[in-house]
Amino acid sequence: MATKKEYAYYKKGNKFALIQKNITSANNAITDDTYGRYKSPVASVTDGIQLEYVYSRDYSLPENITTGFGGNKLYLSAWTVVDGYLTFVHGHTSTITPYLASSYGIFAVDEYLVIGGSSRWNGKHKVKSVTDITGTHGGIQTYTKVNQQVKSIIDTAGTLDWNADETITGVSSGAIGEGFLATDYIWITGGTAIDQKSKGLYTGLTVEASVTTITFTSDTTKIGYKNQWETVHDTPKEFPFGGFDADANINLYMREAFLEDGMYAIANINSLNDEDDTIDLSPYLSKALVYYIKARLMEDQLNLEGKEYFMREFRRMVEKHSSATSLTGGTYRIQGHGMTK
Amino acid sequence: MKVQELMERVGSQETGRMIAYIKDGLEEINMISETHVDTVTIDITEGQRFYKFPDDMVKILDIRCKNHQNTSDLYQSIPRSIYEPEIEDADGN
Repeated sequence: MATKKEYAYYKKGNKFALIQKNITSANNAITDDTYGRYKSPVASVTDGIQLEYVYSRDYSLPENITTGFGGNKLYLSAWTVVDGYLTFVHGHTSTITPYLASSYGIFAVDEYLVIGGSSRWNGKHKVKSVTDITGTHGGIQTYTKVNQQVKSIIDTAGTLDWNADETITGVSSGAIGEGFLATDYIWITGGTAIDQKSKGLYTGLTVEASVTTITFTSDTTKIGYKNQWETVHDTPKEFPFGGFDADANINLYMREAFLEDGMYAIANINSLNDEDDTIDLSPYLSKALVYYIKARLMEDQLNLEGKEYFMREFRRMVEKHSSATSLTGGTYRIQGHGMTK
Repeated sequence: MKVQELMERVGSQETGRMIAYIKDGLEEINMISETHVDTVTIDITEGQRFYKFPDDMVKILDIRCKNHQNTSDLYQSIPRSIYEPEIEDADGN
């Protein structure tokens, strides 16, 4: 049976803090100064937080959403940051061919895609570039700026060797920043088409900051989907590292990545950007929106009286719609404690 | 309603400006009355206090945690703490 827990949250800037009451063991009361007090979570919990929120939709999804080969919905396994831009990647096992740029073809450059199932990146993004696994990032790079540093090893000298003894040798001095920890997820691309299956998403790979040789060990694991084109979502799984073939004089791009189980991208969306687009609102709220636009136009003309009039009408209609969609006239039920429950 | 019809109703021919205002209006409507609601799940990591809000969020409706005040793996709403706890993490973040 699971243990009963006590959580609370508070907001801080663009983040929220989750705190937990430290009541894990009664024996801690004497020896643990934090016993019975709130502190950062005392244990990891997969899918431990559910965050319900409101978002604004300024796009329409395609009529038919299809998965599988040639479909417009693709499950992704992780994201990383390339040149400061958000980039989504798709992990694969050592036994299947990774994504080629042509496979990503449904995500055309300068078109929009919608991300879902992510804890952070849900919503509309514009595609900046797409490359295959031998390219500079091997994923779908977007125009979304990410103000976050990621660990990386970028070596474009073209003198690096990918050896059959599962080492990468000849890494240029200075290419390795602070290195990687075994707990990090690492997205590896580059090289040539000789050994595409070796590239992809890894964990369990330790890289010291000062080395010129990167050694894959028995602890190194690939993360990916069993099938290249998933028709039903399957959690990305860990697979034993399958070894790799020799590949000489290559470039290497290793970047810290962040796993997101259940994240997917939908292509061919219709973003709200021309006169023929439909606004995704009920007819009544669309009329309220007309008042809002009129208020903004009045404000631009410095007609503040007119602005306040139209804003009042806008709020009145939105609130009327809100109360109209709640059933009235019936009995209400409130959930309480004990006998009133 | 199409953008074209809305532009006719407000008497404007500036498409770019109208689309910018429509996007503002959609957000404003969502601040007052929820039209699009989503739920995301986030892993709790031991010792990690801060978590990012979703990028497209306009307003939070609820934060629930697994096993909060229950032993049945149920997700229950958690309260908002008025004060920050006295105990900070070692990294202070």
